[in-house]
Amino acid sequence: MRDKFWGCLLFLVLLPMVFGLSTEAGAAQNVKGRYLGKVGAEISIELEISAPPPPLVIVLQSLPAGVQVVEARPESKLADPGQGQVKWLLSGLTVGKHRLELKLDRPAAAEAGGGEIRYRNPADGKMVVVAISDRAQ
Amino acid sequence: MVQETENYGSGGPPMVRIDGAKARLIRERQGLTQLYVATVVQVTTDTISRWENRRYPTIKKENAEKLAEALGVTLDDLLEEEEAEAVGETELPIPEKDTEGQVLSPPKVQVGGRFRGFRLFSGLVLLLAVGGLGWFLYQASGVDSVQIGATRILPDHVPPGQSFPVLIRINARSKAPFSLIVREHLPPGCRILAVDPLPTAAGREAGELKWISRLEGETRLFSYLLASPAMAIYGLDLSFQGQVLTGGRGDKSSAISGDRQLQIGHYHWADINGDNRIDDEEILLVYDHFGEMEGFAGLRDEVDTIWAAGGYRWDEATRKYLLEQ
Repeated sequence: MRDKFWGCLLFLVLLPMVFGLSTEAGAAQNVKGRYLGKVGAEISIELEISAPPPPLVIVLQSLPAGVQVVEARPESKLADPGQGQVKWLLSGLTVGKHRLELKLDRPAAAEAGGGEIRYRNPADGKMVVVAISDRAQ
Repeated sequence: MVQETENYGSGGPPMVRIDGAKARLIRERQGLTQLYVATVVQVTTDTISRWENRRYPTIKKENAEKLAEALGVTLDDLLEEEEAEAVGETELPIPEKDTEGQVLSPPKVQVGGRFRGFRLFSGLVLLLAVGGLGWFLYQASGVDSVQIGATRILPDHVPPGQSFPVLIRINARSKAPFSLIVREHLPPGCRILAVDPLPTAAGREAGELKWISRLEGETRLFSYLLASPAMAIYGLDLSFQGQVLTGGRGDKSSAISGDRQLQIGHYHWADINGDNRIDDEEILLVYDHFGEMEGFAGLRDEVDTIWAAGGYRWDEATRKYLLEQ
């Protein structure tokens, strides 16, 4: 009888914790980004998309003043080159890892500021802004 | 009571079924021995023991009366009450007799118990059959269990003569696939540019789109591209209304909720706040709402280009969007 009591108590204590963890997991990021390198004139970013993929992802990268983009891959829509930042408009991304690359007109990659990712959370439609991480994940 | 439990098995003597446990209880309470009772009833102690140890032994009525007399109770007090009716309906085998011509053992088969089990089993089968039939009818009716939610998504505004998307999202909860009709009444003067899925043949009449479809999942999208009336005056409201019809004869109607009006204005339909640019939040919302539309690809380039340009202006003279340099 006493064992049953403690069993029930343990269940009641653990239930909210398990529920809390699952809620947190539900709110996990669908898109993550990290720098693979900022060397010379090249900036390389890796995006990691998890299910369900958002229909559109915007990736923003700050650039040092006066620096121009010579080449960007992928070549999808690019906004504001020459205004201190560059933006990718990426639609139809599949689950998995994707690589973005920028080639600058001079070796100023190390001086480039941070970047961020913007998308709408497929679960609740709220806009999510995530910084691109410098660390290997 | 006695009459109900009497039984004439295949022309033999009248038989009754007694409650063996009750007989033992009465005997022990009165402090009587099996030998005493056996002597009074004129059977062996083994017979008395057998009667008492069986739940509902069937014995000669004559012996049952003697037993009752020995125990100082009435015959009714010894009879098994629950089985009275069943015993009356069942033909019992003749019990074995000992050397004294008395009942040695009750019938080898507890007919009443078996009969009760049979009735219980039959009842269960009947219950399952009725439940199954009810479930089948409930499933067959289908439409009664359908819960439909239909929502229209419209831009707030659009310049005259410009294209814009409309999306109708049907969410349904149903245990089985079902058919539905979606009717959409369009504002006068609008031109249909694309429709997905294709409407029924008669659906492209002026001012109305009609789809007859079968919903097998939870969500279904119906979308179309319209061009606003080229000569519409600014500030004019364009009204949309539609219904979803379900039921076997399409006799259950629910209105399409959500956006109902769109105004003729000076801003691109994706420029929600009217600040002459499509910002990040707006383009994300556009893709979220209309990205799944088949016909959206045509509009996407225009939206992407305006977003990338950082600004635009609606040119009244040329009736075009001019990008900011």
